Amino acid sequence: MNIFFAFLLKYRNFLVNLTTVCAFIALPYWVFNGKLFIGGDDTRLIYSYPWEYFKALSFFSWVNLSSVGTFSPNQFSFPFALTWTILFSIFKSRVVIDYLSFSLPLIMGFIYLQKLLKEILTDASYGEMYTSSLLYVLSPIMITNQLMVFLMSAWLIGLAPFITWAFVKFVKTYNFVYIFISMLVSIFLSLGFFGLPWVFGIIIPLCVGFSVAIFFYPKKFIFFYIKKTIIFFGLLISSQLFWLFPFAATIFIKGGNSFADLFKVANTFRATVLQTSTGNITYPLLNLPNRQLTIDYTWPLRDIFLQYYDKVFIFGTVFIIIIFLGIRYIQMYRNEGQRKIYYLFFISFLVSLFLFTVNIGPLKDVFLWLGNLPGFFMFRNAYDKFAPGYMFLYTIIFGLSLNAIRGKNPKLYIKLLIVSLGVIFIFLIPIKQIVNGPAWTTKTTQKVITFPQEYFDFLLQVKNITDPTGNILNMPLNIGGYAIIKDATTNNVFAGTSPTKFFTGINDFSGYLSFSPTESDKMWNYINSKDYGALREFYYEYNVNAIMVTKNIPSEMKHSYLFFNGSLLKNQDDALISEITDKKILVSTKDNYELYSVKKPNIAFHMKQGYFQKISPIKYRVYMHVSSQEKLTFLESFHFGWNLFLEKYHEPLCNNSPIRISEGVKECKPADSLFDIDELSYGFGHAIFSKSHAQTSTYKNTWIIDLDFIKKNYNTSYYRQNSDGSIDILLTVYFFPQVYFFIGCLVSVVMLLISVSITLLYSKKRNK
Amino acid sequence: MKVKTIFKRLLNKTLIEWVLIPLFLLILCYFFSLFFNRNHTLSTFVYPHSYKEYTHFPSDGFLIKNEYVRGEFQAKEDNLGIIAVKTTLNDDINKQYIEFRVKEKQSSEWYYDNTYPAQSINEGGLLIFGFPKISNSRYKQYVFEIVSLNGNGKNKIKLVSRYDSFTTRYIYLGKNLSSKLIYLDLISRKIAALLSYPDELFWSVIFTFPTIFYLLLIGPIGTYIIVPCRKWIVRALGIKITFDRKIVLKLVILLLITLDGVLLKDVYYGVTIDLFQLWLLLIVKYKIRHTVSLLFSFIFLMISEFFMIPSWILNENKIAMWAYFFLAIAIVQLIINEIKNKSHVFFKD
Repeated sequence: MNIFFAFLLKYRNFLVNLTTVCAFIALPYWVFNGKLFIGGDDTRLIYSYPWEYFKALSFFSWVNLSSVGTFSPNQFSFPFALTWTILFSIFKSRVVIDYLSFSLPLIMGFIYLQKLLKEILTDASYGEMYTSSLLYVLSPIMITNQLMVFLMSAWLIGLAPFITWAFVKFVKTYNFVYIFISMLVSIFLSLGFFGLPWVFGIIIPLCVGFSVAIFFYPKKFIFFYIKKTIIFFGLLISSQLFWLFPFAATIFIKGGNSFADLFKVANTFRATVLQTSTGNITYPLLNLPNRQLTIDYTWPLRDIFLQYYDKVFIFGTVFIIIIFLGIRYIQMYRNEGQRKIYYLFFISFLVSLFLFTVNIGPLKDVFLWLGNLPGFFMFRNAYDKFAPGYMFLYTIIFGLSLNAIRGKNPKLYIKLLIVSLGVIFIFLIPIKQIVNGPAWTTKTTQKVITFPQEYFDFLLQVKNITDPTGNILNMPLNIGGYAIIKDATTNNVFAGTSPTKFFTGINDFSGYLSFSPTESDKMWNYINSKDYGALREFYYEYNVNAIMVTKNIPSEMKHSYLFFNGSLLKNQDDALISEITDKKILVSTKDNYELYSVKKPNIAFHMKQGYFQKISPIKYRVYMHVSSQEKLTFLESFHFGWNLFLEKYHEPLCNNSPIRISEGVKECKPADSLFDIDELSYGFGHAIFSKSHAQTSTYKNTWIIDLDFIKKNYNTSYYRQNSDGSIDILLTVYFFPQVYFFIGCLVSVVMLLISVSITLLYSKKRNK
Repeated sequence: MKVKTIFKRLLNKTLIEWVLIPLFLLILCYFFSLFFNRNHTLSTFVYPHSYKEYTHFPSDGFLIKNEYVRGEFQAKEDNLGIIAVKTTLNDDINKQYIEFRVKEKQSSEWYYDNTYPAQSINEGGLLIFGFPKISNSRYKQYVFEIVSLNGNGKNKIKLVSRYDSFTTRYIYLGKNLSSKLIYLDLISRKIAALLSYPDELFWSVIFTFPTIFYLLLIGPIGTYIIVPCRKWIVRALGIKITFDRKIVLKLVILLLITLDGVLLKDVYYGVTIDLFQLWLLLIVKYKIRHTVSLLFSFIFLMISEFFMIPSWILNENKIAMWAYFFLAIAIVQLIINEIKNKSHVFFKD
């Protein structure tokens, strides 16, 4: 017995941490009741359907996800999607991998904030480390801002303390192994870094705060730190180049008059700031989110405030007391080094508090003025973008303050520690209602579901009978690009960007955001004025070849914000469906989903005569019969990145077995390929007819293929000469910016190898 | 004589106290006048337009459902990006939706069209409509319209008929300011613009108060004003009173700040910035400890927490604002102390 207690005593800190980590793993099972936590703008399907996500979104720079195609690379998600695919092959449970992804940032944040505090404070006690890290991951601010929506930025909960810890360790030891570990973890969790505004929300206050260091430390010391900072973050950023490269290309390579450029966002910085920055610093200091905002916008959180937080907010005073006592005691009872660190973090904290709150008298105008800086526009909803950064600094200050109090008054420290832990748990009580709350503007419809088998069976059949290069119109249309899929047994719904592409590989259009604003307005005008002829022509232009109708959307969702309180459904009636469809071609087993063909189908390529085959979303092969100057039209959003490459001619493989024939063009069965080694050659290859590349209609790509040019500049291996003087050629239509992804990958791998080499070199030197 | 010696002689205490610091305060005054000003900011030019430039005006001046106001004006500069309309909209009106649109007069299509809740673009009675700036707007005729979508007897906006019924703003950002000469040109034109706008000139005066206060503080106020006053009070009341000028000033400023925080519901930038500067001046002059600022920050935070309970009518945002300022001042004081105590490490190897 004594040995058992001795063991408990010896490893008590480890056991407490282990228990807490187990609680974090169990948390989603309790919160979500075994259903998948999916939906929203980024669907969160990467956590439960990683392979489907990888194929549809992670690998390619050209994306159609319930919208017309855009140059919006998502390669930041590809290491995670691959890792999670492997994990799924081990666990064979979507719920397990989905829930693990929910717990992982909490576990990382919890562990590495403790490690970070241990590095900052030489005499940190376990009590202050544990309480601070628990406060960090379980703060109502973090829960409402990150866990409730669980965007990619939620990974910053774990990444922020981890990277800071690795950086501090590197600065202290100059051991490159910390850079190497950081690079590996950052590659795996690169999707967290894609939340750039949140990343800057952490970096900006830290940079401002730590710039005060020039008054504290000698010049030599500062340059020494700067050098190490550049090495650490330089290598870290280089590990992210595989997605940063193509991402940067989206900024520098514009698509001309492309669809992508039609999404010109009006400058709403000022209006958004004025509308949303209505709170004050008191709630954040009490460790609570902005109450005023929840009231103004009737968020589901509003009810939780009215019923719960309004009654218990006063307990948060303990956090304010600890911070103020910390300021008082740090000056009196801590050494110079600790004081300086404290002040640097405190200035960062004050900056973060201002940026998170904004509404601080004249400082609000300063924030509005900052909106003039290029890129600052991304912080228009500051209450969101600066929240993780604020909580990170808040908890560090909290930990440092507790440490200072312990130095002055250990008894008071114990009391405050216990009360703090109590308040953390008091504030945590409504976590289930917050994270698993009802969809916005509904009262009972929750957002966690299990996809019904009926839906999967139906989509499988849709995949088999629908044109793979056409588009599906997903009705009823809503204000976003969302699909509403009802749970098999409850009234819960998946309400998020339509997952049709993930499960069928075929793109769909499902709402206002599926088209450019001008085109969407046009479509809704046709619907509201019942101009069905124009509407049919509109869908023909956008290559809509099938219409899918969902019939079991819960009534509460039909009256939600997604359908403008139901008003959007007014004209989406049976008359509309019968006018734009030809015949019903598929019905799901329980009659909840229907598929219709359209009266006038279209095809992805228009030319006089030829074949085409989809190889991947960024690559098509076109076998074209050219008799003089011929027009080639590609029904995909115009972008200068789409290029033609002339290949050595060979007979089309699907010569006798096309899957579709329309308007003289035959479509071959798609190859469904991810990557071909010859794609690398396009980086050095010479695109042809680029000068004739132009936009027709509102979005399509067109080239003029010139017979004489080909004959003059290419030998006969590039074309087949016909007896009438015409030629047959093989063209590859390739989205060139995909190459930047390959270059980025190469650089990232090289930099990773360099860091490994340096690590080994240094460890050898150390051993000597 | 060496330049260093001349410089040292020139830079004596009197010069710093009587010239440099007041000059610095006046520069701050000008900066604040421009920065914390609804009309004139650092990066914008503002020109007032008279009500005569309204070509359609609601008969009684009220914007209610389907009523609209239409204005026509000639742009004075390039980079037209904001039109601000003066109203008597107050905080109680918050359910009115309005549509704003603007275009070049000859154009058949609106350049920009958007709908807003009036309250969201209201800044103290000014309805501020921003739109993507028009880079080549100078000397062109523009038309704008504001239509009320759901105004009624309760939710109505009263338009103002005066010489500055609406203002047009021209946004000059960093990339436009590539040359130092352009900066000088802009600054001189901004001063001229500020001087030509009487309302703004009047409101700018408030920012000179810290300068006046400072001059009184270092001047013979004690000898010629406070001492005779004290004598007069003693004679009049027949009692003997002694007080420390430092404590009195400290209490007066803190009382004013408390009154501003608790009594004035709205934020008046002039008042806030003046009181903020006055507190800083006192700290510098009388070496007030950081604990005072810290204590007041805590007190204000507790008051703000208390006022958060619904149905209180006081402005807890403003009290929290002062809590933040006091906290920031306390931390800066601590940092300065740290630097002073260890001045040998300041940028020395």
